[in-house]
Amino acid sequence: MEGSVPRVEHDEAVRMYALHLLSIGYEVHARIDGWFQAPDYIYGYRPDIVARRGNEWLVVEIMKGDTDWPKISALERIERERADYKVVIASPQDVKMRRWAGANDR
Amino acid sequence: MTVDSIRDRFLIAPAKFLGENPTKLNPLANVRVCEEWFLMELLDPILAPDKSVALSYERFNQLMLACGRSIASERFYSYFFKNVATIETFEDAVENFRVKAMWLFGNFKFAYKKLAARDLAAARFDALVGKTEARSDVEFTKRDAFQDIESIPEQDLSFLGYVSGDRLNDLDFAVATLKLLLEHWSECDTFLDRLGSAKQQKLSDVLAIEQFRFPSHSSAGVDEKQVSEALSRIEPELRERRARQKKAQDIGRKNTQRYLTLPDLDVYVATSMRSDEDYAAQSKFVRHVFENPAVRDLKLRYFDPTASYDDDRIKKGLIECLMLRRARVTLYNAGAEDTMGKDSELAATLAQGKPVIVYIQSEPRFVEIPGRGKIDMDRRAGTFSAKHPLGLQISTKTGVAHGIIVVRTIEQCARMLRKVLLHELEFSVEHEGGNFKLEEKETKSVLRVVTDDPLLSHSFWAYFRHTEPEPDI
Repeated sequence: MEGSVPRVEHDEAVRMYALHLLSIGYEVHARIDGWFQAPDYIYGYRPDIVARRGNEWLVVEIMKGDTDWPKISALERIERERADYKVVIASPQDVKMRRWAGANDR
Repeated sequence: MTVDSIRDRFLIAPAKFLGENPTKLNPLANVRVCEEWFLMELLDPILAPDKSVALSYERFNQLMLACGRSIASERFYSYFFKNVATIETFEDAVENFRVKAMWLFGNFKFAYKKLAARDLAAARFDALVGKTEARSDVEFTKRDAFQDIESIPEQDLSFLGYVSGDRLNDLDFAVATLKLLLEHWSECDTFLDRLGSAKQQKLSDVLAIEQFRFPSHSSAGVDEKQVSEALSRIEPELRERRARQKKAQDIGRKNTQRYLTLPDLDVYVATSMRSDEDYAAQSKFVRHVFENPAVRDLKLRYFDPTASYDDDRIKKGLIECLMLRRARVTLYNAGAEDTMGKDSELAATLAQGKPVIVYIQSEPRFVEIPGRGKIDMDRRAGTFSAKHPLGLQISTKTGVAHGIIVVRTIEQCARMLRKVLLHELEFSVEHEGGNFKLEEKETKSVLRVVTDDPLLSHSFWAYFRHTEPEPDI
């Protein structure tokens, strides 16, 4: 349980990131009950956000802690295998500081 | 009372003992395998002219053989019939056997076959009948007081609920959306357009609860200053609620670990917690039951789902399944509405062959449910007592049909809880509508049934014992 991000903080970052992507024109699927449709599983894991704009796909995972690595590894695989997919691993702190890696264009 | 009427009563009792519904003219007609004259000859030395009943071990077994049953062990005879001296004590002995037969096996014939078998070890016989006998309360009272579970302020209990949690999440989303909107105010129309109509409608609904009117569509009427003022009012309130939620959830998480490692668990409390009011009502119910003088000295270990929390709903469900499995009895707070959660818990407990006490408040009699009007709790209690399809469930291990105990007051609930745990329930066997019913005397609840229907009974036990459940999903 060491080194894990509190659930509330994690969920807040997912909300902020999803709303940001929505505001810059992405079609967003996110793990936010009641507001967005949940993303599909990718190699057995459900990412926090999958967003699409045209032919560009963005997979976003907000870090929760040390136990993330098998999921991150599975998500990164799709970036290696599909040229149209980009995977962003962000910390809640990144989101708080408005560091939108991979999605900063409007 | 004439000698003839004693003879009639004597003949009716063995018929009941053997699971037959006695006929008026010839009570043992369906079970007798000897000729009529021999049965009468057998009764002569048993029924003396002074109206006493002399049922020795030998005479009892002759009677069983004449009725097509196997010879009973001496232990069985001694336990049930040794003290028979009058027709009344004989009838009481038969009633005692019938109660135990229904309680343990849900079947009179099988109960006799099992309990009277001469190759049944004495210890096994004692263990079986012991399950139906009153227990000492020492096992409970000698324990330390149950103080493992940390309490959560009543007004914050609802923060442990997923419904209340979702409300805060929605408000969080609304606040985040307003913030982003303010950051890009010059592009307000584009932003709302990209948000989409469904989300804007929901945003409007969520903010309306917080007394802020936000349009449900388009940007007409959206004012930057008003949005900013609303945000500076709502955000600190949200933070304060989040802080209380975090505190309550932290206690709930710790309590979950305590529950998971409790060596004993006596009672599982099943209820539904949809609204904030449900949490407060459930908390009061639990406190009042377990602090009642009828059970306080038993230091009961009980699982109160309102005091336990896990972030993950699947894990929370598994925790509750385990607690239900471990507890000796389930206390079901019926409330005014049925819900899948607590109904499943009721059925699962019965299917595990364990008792369920269902509490349906008597005061106030009518409860208002939004959209459904007034619910008559007396009628609801009647449904649970007599008509509810889940009122009887078979134990998946034994095939015995188990019923629920319906109580109407907190005091009765506590009293029955004590009786259930200490095996102090009192029963009578009644016959109605083609079924024998084992009825608890105080609440008139039916806890076991045996049907007269020969085909249903035969098929039930044949298939129950000799077929495996379907292995596939």
